[in-house]
Amino acid sequence: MSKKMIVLKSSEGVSFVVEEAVARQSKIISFLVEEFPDRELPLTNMTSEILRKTIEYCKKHVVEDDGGGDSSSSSSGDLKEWDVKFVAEIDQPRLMDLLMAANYLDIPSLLDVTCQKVADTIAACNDEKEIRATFNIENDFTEEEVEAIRMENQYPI
Amino acid sequence: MKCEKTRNWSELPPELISSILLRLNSIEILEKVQKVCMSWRRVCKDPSMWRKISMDNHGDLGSMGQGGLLEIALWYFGTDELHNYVADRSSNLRSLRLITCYQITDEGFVEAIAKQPLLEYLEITYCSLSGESLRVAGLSCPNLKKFRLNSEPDPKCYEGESNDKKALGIAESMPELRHLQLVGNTLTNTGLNAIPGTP
Repeated sequence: MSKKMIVLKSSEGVSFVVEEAVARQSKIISFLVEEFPDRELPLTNMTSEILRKTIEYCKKHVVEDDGGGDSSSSSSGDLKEWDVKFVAEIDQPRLMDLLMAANYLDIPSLLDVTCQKVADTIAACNDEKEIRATFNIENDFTEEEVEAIRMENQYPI
Repeated sequence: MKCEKTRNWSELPPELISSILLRLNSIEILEKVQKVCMSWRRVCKDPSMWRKISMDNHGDLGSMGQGGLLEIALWYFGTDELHNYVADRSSNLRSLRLITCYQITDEGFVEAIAKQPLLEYLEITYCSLSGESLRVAGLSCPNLKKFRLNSEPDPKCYEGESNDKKALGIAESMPELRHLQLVGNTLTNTGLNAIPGTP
């Protein structure tokens, strides 16, 4: 039985031919596939790099219920391990892109692992300065706000 | 999604910041995250971040979202002042656990509990509170469905009289109770019989 394929086009105009079942991990794509019969979806706010990563994730997570496809049908434990490795290999800027992509394409499990990775990174930071440095965030508090935070967080006497 | 080398994480949409921060504990939010930048701080202040708090060491409770807190557990360092502080800011609290808070007095407890009328679950573990205080707690919290009182058996009071008073306090004031746990309690049959539903 031949598989239905669809084409996903990145912001650079690169086409990725993907099995429909893989792409349907995204709820948005799932919806679009049903709405648009031409089966070519332009994802203009996703770079080829991030789209490739997202597809890699979806391929791993596709439910292999029709017998075909990747024979390495993973147990949930293996899959979790794979997820951890998958996000561990991604650098900070791309992690944010991937998190946004997961949100934009509505892929709940990818959003979950990327959010968890960010949370773990925050938890590993010793203070707010280290968090700012790690995530390239500017300290945009005014003097008054810094004072307000200080006052607010005094231990109740 | 641009391709430059760096990203400004403060520009993440608030719902995504929130989804990340909800995975951190209260201390991390208060001590570090809310001090990072304005956009993260705004998310930290949102009441939805403060449905549930568990604190097990000295920490700041400074800026809990106003009134949105539903559950809190105070371990070890709970004092009358802290309990009152929490009570003033969490009138919607449903679940309160005071664990090993020896510093909490009857007077302070009674004052604070009166401000938490919606409590459904109360746990008092290893705190020295009188039967009268428990009675007042019951009267203050008519919705109380689950109550746990855990204490270390006190070798000096095996006659069980003070524990009977606690049982009477519970019996008198907590008619809606569905779940009661008494551990390490040396109450006598007089106390036990006073509790509705015990043979």
